[in-house]
Amino acid sequence: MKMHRIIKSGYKTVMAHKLRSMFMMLSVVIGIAALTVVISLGKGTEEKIMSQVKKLFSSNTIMIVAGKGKMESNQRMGSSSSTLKLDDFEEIKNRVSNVLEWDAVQISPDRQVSYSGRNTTAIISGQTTAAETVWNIDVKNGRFFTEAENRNLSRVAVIAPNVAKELFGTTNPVGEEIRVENIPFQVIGVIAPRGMDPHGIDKDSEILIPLNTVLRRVVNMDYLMLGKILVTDEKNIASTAKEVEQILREKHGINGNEASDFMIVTPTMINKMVKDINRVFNIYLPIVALISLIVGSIVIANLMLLSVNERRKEIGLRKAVGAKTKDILAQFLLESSSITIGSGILGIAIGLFALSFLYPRMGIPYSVSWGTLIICFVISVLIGILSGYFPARKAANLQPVEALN
Amino acid sequence: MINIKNLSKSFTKDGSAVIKAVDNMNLEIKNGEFVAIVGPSGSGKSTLMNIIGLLDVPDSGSYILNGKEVAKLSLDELAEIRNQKIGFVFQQFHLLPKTTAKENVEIPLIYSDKKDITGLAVSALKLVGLEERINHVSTELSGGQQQRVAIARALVNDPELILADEPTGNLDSKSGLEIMSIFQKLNRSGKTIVLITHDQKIAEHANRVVKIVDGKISEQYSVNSPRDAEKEIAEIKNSQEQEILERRN
Ligand SMILES: Nc1ncnc2c1ncn2[C@@H]1O[C@H](COP(=O)(O)OP(=O)(O)OP(=O)(O)O)[C@@H](O)[C@H]1O
Ligand SMILES: [Mg+2]
Repeated sequence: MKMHRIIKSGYKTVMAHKLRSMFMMLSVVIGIAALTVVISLGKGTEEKIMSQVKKLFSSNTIMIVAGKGKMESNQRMGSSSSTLKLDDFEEIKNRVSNVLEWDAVQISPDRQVSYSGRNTTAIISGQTTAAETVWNIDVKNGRFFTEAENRNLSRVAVIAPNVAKELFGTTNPVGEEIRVENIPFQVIGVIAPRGMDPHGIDKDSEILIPLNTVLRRVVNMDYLMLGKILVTDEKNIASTAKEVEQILREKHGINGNEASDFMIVTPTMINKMVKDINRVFNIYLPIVALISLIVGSIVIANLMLLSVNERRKEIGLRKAVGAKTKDILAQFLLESSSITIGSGILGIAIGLFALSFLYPRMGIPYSVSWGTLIICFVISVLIGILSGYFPARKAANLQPVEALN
Repeated sequence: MINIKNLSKSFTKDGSAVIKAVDNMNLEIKNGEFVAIVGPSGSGKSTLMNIIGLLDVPDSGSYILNGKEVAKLSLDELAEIRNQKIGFVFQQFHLLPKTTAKENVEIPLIYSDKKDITGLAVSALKLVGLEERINHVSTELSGGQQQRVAIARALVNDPELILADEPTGNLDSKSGLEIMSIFQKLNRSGKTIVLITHDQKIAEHANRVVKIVDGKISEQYSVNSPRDAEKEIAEIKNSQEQEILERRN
């Protein structure tokens, strides 16, 4: 019940020492603003990458990529590693019970495509009939190709929206004949837009063709770039990935410590990869912001000590007229934490303003969460208590006579 | 009310020399008394007063306040008694800067459970004749007015005991008399008052004078007919008016 009086009285002294209070606030404001910005940018980029990754990499997915190298290196050009073949996937399907569906892909980018005088370049993507479910492809107009068409090396094509627009404009492509270089294909379907994938491949400039047709008639080889497996039971995805790896190593005759000639990617690996990429935002920059906050609290602690020394008489008087040790402790703690809380709120506001100001100009995605704001707020309260504690204790333990003389 | 037996307090000065500021002193002050403490500078008056006011602790001896042995009380209990039972008036006033008269008087109430602290502060300021200066910042007030704010602050919690360490030391004689008239009124209303002064005339407003030399009581006597500060102020006024009249003639 006495607390609000002590708060009121403390507020007056803060206002009476505006300049000193402002100095105390400065470093905390900067630190908290920086922390808000950095955490929000980190979360923003992470969320953006994640959402793109999730589009082709849901949590029940295992990817198998040909070659030893990094995933990024070969994808744009189509794979030149001759390690992954169709029978690898058939074997996996037969031996691993957790495999629900699989699709294998070979790509041939930058192919000239034409339709009655109109030209464009497209990415030819050979896939199995399972692609529709495995990659979540939505056929808007017409249909997807069938198993029979894949088996018979039929020259049928399902085209993505950009290809449809470039070649057909407003006319209905379904049933028309296009040419991929010199080979004629019949358009049997148009799919819904899918956007860019995380590697920058424009999924809307693709032409999907049965895998066998692509292997025999377009690229003329029998190895694959990658495959995607959907599992039935997500919980066991890690052990399923291990199993798949074992089978492939065995099949490819790789023993002991020899490196695999393929790479297996699981959702956890992808998450970790995205987090690793974002380490600068998630760890290093917040540490820099925290260091500035530590400096800030040292500044506050020193200015508070100065304030305690300057105000010995006030403290002595308060004790002489009946303030208890805990009253003085509370007063100084409230003073320091009201300053840091004020700075924290100001810092958060400045941080949010900076984000909304920077975003349209720099295009860095950001994401503000309550969690971030609460973390920043709690940190400001903690700084106030930590930096105020020793000065406050010093003040509280002053003897009234000593302080008054 | 106050019972002091064999009380001693010494200070070490410059590391070695020990000064016995209060030396084996015995003193009793009864409820409702008005006692003036006099003595040369450095004789230990303030030291004694600080101990009586629970601002300082003695080295040895016993101090019983209202039947309680002070040495046995905790820090919080001492703070509580300072807040509720004792009003202290200092020579240097000790008002907070940049703070109004009213806010200064409210300070003891902040640490009490009393309600309506503003109302109590205002009536204490009225009691010392400062109702027109309630919202003045302390530095805008004259010395006499500042000391009256300090007295109002000492009174605001309605203490039984008022301790004043040279409250008139920094004031001119008329302001000093005004302060003494407030103390005399308070004493008539039943408050026990202990006052330190260098000034023999000021001391003679009390009922008893205690003289201290070298930390010991050298003599003490009752004042048969104490000076009446109010009368003295009236006399000064009269003589001033007389003077003005004489000059006109
Ligand atoms: N905190 C202290 N440290 C060291 N010596 C002190 C302290 N306080 C008082 N003394 C010494 O104790 C003695 C008594 O001091 P005290 O202030 O009680 O005297 P006083 O009678 O109030 O004097 P004055 O009339 O000048 O106010 C003096 O010699 C003083 O120097
Ligand atoms: Mg003194």
